[in-house]
Amino acid sequence: MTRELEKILMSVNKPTRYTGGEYGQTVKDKNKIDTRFAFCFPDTYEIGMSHLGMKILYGALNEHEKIWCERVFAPDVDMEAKMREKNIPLFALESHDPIADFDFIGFTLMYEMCYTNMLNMLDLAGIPVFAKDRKGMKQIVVAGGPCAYNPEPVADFVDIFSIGEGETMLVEICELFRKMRDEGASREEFLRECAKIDGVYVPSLYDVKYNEDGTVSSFEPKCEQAKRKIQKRIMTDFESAYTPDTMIVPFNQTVFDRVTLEVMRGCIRGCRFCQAGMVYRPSRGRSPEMLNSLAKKLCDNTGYEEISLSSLSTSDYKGVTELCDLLLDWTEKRNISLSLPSLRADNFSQDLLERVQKVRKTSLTFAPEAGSQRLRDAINKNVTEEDILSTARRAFASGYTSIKLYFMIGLPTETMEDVEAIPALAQKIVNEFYNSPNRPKGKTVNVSISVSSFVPKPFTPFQWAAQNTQAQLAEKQKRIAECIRTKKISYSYHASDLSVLEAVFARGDRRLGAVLYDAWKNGCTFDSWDEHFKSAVWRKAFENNGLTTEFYANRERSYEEILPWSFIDIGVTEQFMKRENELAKESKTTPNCYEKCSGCGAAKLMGGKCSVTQCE
Amino acid sequence: MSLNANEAIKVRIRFSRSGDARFVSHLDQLRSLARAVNRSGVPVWNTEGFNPHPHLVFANPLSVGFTADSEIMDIRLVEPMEMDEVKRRLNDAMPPFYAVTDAYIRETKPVDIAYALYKITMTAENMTAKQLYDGVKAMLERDEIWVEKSAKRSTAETNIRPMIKTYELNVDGSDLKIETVLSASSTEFLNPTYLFRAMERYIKDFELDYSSICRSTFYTADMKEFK
Repeated sequence: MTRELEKILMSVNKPTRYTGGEYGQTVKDKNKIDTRFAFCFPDTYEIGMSHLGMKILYGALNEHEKIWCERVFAPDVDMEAKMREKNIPLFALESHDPIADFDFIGFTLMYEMCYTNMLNMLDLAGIPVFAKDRKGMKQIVVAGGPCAYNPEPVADFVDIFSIGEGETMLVEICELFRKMRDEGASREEFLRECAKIDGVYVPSLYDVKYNEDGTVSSFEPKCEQAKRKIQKRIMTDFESAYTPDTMIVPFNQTVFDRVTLEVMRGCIRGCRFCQAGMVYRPSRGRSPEMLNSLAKKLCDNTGYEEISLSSLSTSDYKGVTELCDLLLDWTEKRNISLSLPSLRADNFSQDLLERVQKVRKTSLTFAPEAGSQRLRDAINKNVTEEDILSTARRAFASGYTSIKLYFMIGLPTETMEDVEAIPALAQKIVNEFYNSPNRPKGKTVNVSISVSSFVPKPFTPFQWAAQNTQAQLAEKQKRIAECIRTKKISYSYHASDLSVLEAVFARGDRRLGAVLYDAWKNGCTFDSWDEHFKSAVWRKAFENNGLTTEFYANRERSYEEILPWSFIDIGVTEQFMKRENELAKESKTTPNCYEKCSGCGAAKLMGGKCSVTQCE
Repeated sequence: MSLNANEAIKVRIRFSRSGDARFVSHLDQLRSLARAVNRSGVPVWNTEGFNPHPHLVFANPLSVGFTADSEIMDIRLVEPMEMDEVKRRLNDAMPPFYAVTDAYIRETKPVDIAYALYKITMTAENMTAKQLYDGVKAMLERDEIWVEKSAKRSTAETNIRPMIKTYELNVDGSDLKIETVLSASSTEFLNPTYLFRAMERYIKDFELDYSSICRSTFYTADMKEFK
């Protein structure tokens, strides 16, 4: 490390975010490898180090003898200012080498508001921000993650998108690169050949045209290697899919500082607003034995004091009680606690409750999402009020005094009555506490409700919906506050400016690239952080490019419209989503996959029978 | 055969930290070394109560930016283990740039520490190493050196000269190297960065450019090495 860098590190906040040197990091001999991969997380170290996907891909790439994958995070504003002042380009943590010298620059796109950070990191690295300006067989920008399911808004900046589960895909891309580099291929030749890999989308190989009214009129491949429809990749054998048995242990505190055990991928519920539930279908679980043995290795190799069971809906994981029993067998005496987030109120059994509370009681969190049964049915969140109340009852009887509930406003078919049902439900839970004979004596209850604004997402039955306007959302937020008359209920909600932008980019097209570039050039980064979000700059960027947020966010789309992401095949069919959308309008529910197969279409990805229903 | 808190075997670990690890804060270090202990399998006594974790006692916090040769971490073993084994296992589990230099049954308490030796490498803006040498030498020859020193909730003008026990200056290329023994007891503790504050006051045109500080050795009141 140079003295210059040392001096800078002494003057910034939490310098260990930029040094590397943590236990568990992978350091390779530069002379023994031939491909360098900079895995960039477009947010701060604390957030990126909590992300499981990054750990998996870091491990998967480093398993390859000739590839060295290193980590890069978005520097905090004080560090960035110093780096720009002293001309220190963005570097990777393990080697401290500038990433501009690397072969691959990977980004995981977690949520839409990190896009400006991606541009900023490329710029900080001294890498051309636009894909068309990058030359040669190096600085290949590859992006994946949930936002890759609608990659169009960032199509101008990325060379390759990896769509779906990347454990094997990224290595395949690197292998192809190594082979073609040896053969003296050009960047263009490599990108064209790469497009043949399943799950890979190379945006520069397609032409998009627009109608007068701004909707997409055509999406055409420019060469024979570019597929018309790109099917996402999926790890069909999830039990044996690569997963790391060690993790890097950060020095400073991160958001999640524990062993994360992925018990299941996918979800059986089919809630109509949820993108993750749809794009990760079909649901695949791992065996309790495998997970227990993995958990032990992870704890041995990291020294962590907490294990978190991670999935979209852990109480739906069939082996959950068995796994908890296997884990409690050795974790209790080692003072390792278990955390089970993502539980449902309708199947949180007494058994599970008892196991969860054995080591350290935290508060319980559930996501009813809607306050009224009518609306919960419309969004297919099949949880009844009695489920919620009886779970609360049992929690209070077991000693919990704090319950957190997540809700959304602006859901399709919502009325003001539905909105008022949110605080009403919170009040009913408070009442349950006081009616509970076994409740903790001398303690008071806290029910906190967190209300966010619904953002329609691609590949959900609600992908055609119009987002509520900011005025409508503000009215609803105000109404909820008016209905709360006790200090026992804490209420938090998000300002809607950000939700509008999220909605725009979630369902946006390529023309937004210019807006994104302008906004970033004029100072926008860390948009999801209140103190950095520059609403006015964003508004100007839209104006200057002749586009409106209303077109993307508040317009109800017709079934006939070509949606910018429709060239991607996630397994679940458009037909299924249309059907679900129509059922929502009648407040009719659809059973979950364990109850009855609804023929969503994801089964075909398993090459035969669906992993959940065994149907084809 | 688990020993309780009173019977537990009192062991002292000495460790060094260098390189990139210099930027780890005291609390982060505490947490990191607790996890290293977990990884090592050394049977360390855990705290009781709500959040049990390995019980580690550090004699002195180490400031962010400092490296160190021989820091003190006291633990208690709930099962007997050979000291060589303790040292080996801990070393295998330490983060990069941390190393266990010694492990032994302890007989003294951290309260016996009176002094610490610091090795400082520094440069000043717009000044050669020789000019800096002259300035620092003159400053240290004074009877009184006043700085604004912070205590728990206030700052006060303090004469730090009595807390500087010994010093040795050397010019090494373009660096000034200072080896100095400073007070390091629980009642009188001088952080070496105060020397820079003093230089700002007593050396004309002094502006700190680069500094690197290593805490090297601990001493008792009669200047014997603390064990």
